[in-house]
Amino acid sequence: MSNVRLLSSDNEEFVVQKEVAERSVLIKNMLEDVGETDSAIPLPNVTAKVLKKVIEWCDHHSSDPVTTDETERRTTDIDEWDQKFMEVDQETLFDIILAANYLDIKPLLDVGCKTVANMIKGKTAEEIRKIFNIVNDFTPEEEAQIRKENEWAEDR
Amino acid sequence: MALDVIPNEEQQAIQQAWNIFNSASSPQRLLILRGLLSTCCTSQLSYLWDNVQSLLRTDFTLMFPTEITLRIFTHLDAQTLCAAAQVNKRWQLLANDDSIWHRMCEQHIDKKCAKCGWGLPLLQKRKIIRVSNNKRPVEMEDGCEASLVVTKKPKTTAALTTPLKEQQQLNKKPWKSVYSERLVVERHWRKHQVKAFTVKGAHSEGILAVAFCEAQGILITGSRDKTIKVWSLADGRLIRSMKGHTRAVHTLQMDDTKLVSGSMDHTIRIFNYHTGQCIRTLEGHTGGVVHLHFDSRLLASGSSDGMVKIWNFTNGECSTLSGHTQAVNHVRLYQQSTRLLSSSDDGRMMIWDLESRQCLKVLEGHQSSVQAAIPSMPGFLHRFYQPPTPAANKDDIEEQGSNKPTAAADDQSLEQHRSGVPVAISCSLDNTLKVWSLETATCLKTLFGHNQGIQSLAYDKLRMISGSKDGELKIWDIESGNVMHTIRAHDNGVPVNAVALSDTKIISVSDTGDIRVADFGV
Repeated sequence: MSNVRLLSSDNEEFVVQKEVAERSVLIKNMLEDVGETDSAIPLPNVTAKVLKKVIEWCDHHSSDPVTTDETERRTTDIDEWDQKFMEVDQETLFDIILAANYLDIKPLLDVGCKTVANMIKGKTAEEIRKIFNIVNDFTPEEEAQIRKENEWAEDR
Repeated sequence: MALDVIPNEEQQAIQQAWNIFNSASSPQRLLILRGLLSTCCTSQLSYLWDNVQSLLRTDFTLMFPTEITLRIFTHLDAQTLCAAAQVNKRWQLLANDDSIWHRMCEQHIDKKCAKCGWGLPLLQKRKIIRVSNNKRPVEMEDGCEASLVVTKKPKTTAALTTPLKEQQQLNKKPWKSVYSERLVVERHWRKHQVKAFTVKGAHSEGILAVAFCEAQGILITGSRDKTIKVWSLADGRLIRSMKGHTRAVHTLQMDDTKLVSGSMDHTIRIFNYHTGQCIRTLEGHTGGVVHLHFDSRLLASGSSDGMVKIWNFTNGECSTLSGHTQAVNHVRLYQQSTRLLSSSDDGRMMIWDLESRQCLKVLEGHQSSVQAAIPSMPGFLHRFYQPPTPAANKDDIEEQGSNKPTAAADDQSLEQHRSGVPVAISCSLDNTLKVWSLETATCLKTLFGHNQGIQSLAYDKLRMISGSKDGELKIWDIESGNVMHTIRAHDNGVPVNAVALSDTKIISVSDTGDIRVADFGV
């Protein structure tokens, strides 16, 4: 099993099994383009801290079958290991999502998005503002108007 | 403690410490923090913990490209999306995104959502007409709906998308409004919030058949008093009365131009219901015409003498299907007019191949007269599965094992999925409804709930209505097969002879000549 060297934005090097690294479509394509190489692959958008997490995820899921079926990933159920894995602070979570997007790891991006969705699900506007430190920029009149527009969704 | 309450000197020292940190490089800052952390006591660490949490909270919509935010939002339900739209201006824009709501509509309208179990009515008044006869309404695949088929662009990915898109173009409505309108109607159904009126004594004798067209706003009834009457759907005003039949009118079906009726006088008549004129009379049955069903090509009729006749509109041919030993109560053409399902007083249903005019299968299981059996419409998904093979047939399972998994082993995964296997739902005087697989002709499920014989039945992709001899109507959830509401629609003990169903209405007619219109679209 050959290894691949990955270089984070803050110049930390990670040695990873090729199979694990290839969960990233970006890296897989790069390796295909470059062929066998000894030099480290630079990942200028990913810090060591985040890259470490991403590699941990790829390692755990290295033997997963590649799912292309959208509907299979449609539900918001997340498996237990992934749930634990995503128990991180918001910044790390968002960085993992951005890294998954950049590295093109669809299943990880999906788990990340579902995790964020689950943070929001069932919350009121005020609760959402609190969770993400968001300032309400509506005037009281606008707010009343918007509440009225969205009234229909309540009481299900 | 605030900075300005301490002595000046100490203020300066603290200020200096902050300045050092401020001017430090990022690795140096980490070094300083590491040192500070190592000297903190637990209460100070606890202070940090409390404050860091909230400082780390950030609005991800500002960090993420829009497509990631929208990806997150597609995992949300309608209620949360509406809450999200009230967070701030940026969130409002994102949570109201038309693509998200288009997807919501696709997942829910005219079908049950696999995730939440909710389905929303299509509300396509203009193009859909439902028809009933003396027992049950049917959704026509032609006739009024033909206009829909014509305007449909060929090769659409999903049957639903085109009508929805067309509708949106016509209305220029955001998908969120399309969704909300339908959710409101669906809630009315679920909570039984309804505006209903009854036309008492609409006919001097029992009403046996009803059909209505929401687009034209009319309702047509056929009665034992030999007449057919056209009513305004909105207020129950009589528009016209059509005479011609010499005995009870047992069945009728309409499309956008004509009305076809069948009577105990052995004839079928075709009326122009706009003028009241009888265009044609079809004779040939040797018994009363109990029920009929037509599409663009064929007309099928079932008679009290147990015969079914197939009339071909294009070449004028008429053929007879003989097999039932007692009166045929119900007929339905399906599978593009290549098949017919008939129900009879003999307690059986028969599946006929109309090419060969042979009976392909007999559905047996009801203990009494079958009043109606309606094949599922294209795109109908359900959770009625083949019951697991009993253990006694173990050998059979093993034999099949090579090409398909055993039913028992698949039970769990099956429970989570919907089946598209075409079914028929039947109602009987034995007080039950049954769901049948049209592929294997086996009974998949028996639904109990009525205390008297069930004479009328109608269903769509979301719900089912059944009417019984004791005057009760039941609304069933098509997914679970559970009764959602039981309604005393007509006087106690007065049979509900026919029902008709649309996305917003239930129309039922009684043996004492009353019409009840229940509107859930209000």
